[in-house]
Amino acid sequence: MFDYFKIYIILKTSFRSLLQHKLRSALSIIGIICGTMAVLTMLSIGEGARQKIISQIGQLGIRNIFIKSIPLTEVQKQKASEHLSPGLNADDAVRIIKGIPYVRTAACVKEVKAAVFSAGAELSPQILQTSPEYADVLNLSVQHGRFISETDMIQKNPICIIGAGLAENMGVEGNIGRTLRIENRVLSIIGILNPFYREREGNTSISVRNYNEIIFIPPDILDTENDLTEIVVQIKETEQVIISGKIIKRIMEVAHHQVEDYQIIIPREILRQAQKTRRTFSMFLSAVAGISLLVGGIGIMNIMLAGVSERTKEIGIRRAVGATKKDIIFQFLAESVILTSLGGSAGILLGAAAAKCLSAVADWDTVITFFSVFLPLLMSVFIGVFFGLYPAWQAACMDPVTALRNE
Amino acid sequence: MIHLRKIRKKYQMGSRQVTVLRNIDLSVSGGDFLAIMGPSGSGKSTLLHILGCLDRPTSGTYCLNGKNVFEASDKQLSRFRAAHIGFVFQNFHLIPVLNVFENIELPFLYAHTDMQQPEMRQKVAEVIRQVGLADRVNHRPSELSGGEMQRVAIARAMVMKPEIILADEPTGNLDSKTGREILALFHTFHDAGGTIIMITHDREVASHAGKCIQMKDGNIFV
Repeated sequence: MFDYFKIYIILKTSFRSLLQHKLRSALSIIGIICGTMAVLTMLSIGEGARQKIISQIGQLGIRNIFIKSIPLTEVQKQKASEHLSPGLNADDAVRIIKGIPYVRTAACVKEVKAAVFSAGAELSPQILQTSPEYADVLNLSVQHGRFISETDMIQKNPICIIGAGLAENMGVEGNIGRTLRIENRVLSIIGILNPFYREREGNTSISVRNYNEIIFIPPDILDTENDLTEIVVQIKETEQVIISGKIIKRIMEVAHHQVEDYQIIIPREILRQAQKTRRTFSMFLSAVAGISLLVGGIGIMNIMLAGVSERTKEIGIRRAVGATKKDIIFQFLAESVILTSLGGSAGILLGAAAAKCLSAVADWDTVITFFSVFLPLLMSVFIGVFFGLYPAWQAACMDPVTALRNE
Repeated sequence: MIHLRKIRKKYQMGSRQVTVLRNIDLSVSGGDFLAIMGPSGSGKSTLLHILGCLDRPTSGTYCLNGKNVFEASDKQLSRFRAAHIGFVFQNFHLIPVLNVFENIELPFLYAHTDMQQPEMRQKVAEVIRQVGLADRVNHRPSELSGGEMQRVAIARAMVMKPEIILADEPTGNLDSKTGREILALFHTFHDAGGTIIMITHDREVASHAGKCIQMKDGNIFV
């Protein structure tokens, strides 16, 4: 049976004994404080990085594969024309859709550099020439109006869809039904996208477009002869993404005659890489935490051993009054656990503060989860038990008579 | 109640063996007040420790209430000490970080009783009143005089209402007036039917006891 009265008395006595040597107790837990602080800070940095990459990849789409054209140097251009590589084009998309049964749909994207005017003012949004599938593949939605339709493509309607931020900047001119001018074409606005929350750039290879400052137009409205900028392929099931990526690579190699004028980006692959990196990071973290907590634990053991030898007489008195060995062990274990969990709590507070500071000053993403608080706390308690056991055992094994004679 | 038969105790001091007790035979009945006298090194304290189950003899038997004590485990002996034996020492042996009340409460922590906390507190308060320390409850041992400390020690020894109190020179560090007050407390315990075994150097103190034995070189002379 749990005897709360006894536990209360033991805890109270332990606290008093520790307070007898305030400075010594405080110094002895510095190692534990540093250790738990390191664990919490690093866990929250790791978690922050993980959540950021997941959210970035989520915006790119876990089932998507991006094929981007790479700007070529003169030498590479030479080689490309020798090998008769056509550059990234719509035929690549057709080959992929027809060649791979796992493909759900694909969207071709062409970045257009052109001047944009609205009511006489010049704007500088990004212009993307694309097909109706694009909104579906990248999960974009409109708050007003609609996206590009098949009919727009066939009829070559002079229309455009603009981003929320752009619409706001344009004021009244940014409403549906108004027009804007790109080079010499006048286009009517038929849709405004929902505001888009964009993760800060972390990894350039998976950068997400800023859909707030953008204009979508159907193909063949402006005269452009450039190659495609990007093909986005969406796969039916997540499990088929990796294998589809391999097939796409092969198709592209054949179509482009081994010329690498394109780059294949698979968000799912990046996520897997990130998870692998995270595992390495976790192992590194465990090593750091392990070492600092080991050192901290040895400090605790040292101080507890000193306490035991100082309080030899007290141990003798307790034994004479009727304490069993187990009672003595429990008394000293309570002290070391109180010590380490105080250190652990202080470390957690400092670690949380450090994580917040890193977020504020160094602009790192840190996320404190229940686990990242619970783990270091649990570790500190465990260390109290582990490193307190030997001193407590030594105290319990003292001969009561010898202990009583000790002055 | 207490029967010692052929108790021997040897210590290994480095390379040589020291025999502290040789062939001790001793019987104490319930309700006795026994004084043990003798010069230092005669084995009095060792005998008292053995009587109090703090130490085990090298050979011999010790029957307490008909049971052979040294067949018991360390844990059983501890429990037995908590419930049936009270110790009083020459140097008081109080725990410095605990106040008067908490020092006296200590045996309850280790005796496995069914008593609830209010009842325990009441018993502690009662014994504090008996030894006349009601106004000193919250003081630490360092704030007390020698006589007061010894009264706390006696209160601690009596709080569990043990059958035996073992006292090792309880008045040795006190002036004679304070010593008489301490002895008066022993008499109260004895009059209530308790058994006391007390070591002393002082003939006058020994005269308070009903019986007196003399020890020398590990032997008893009556």
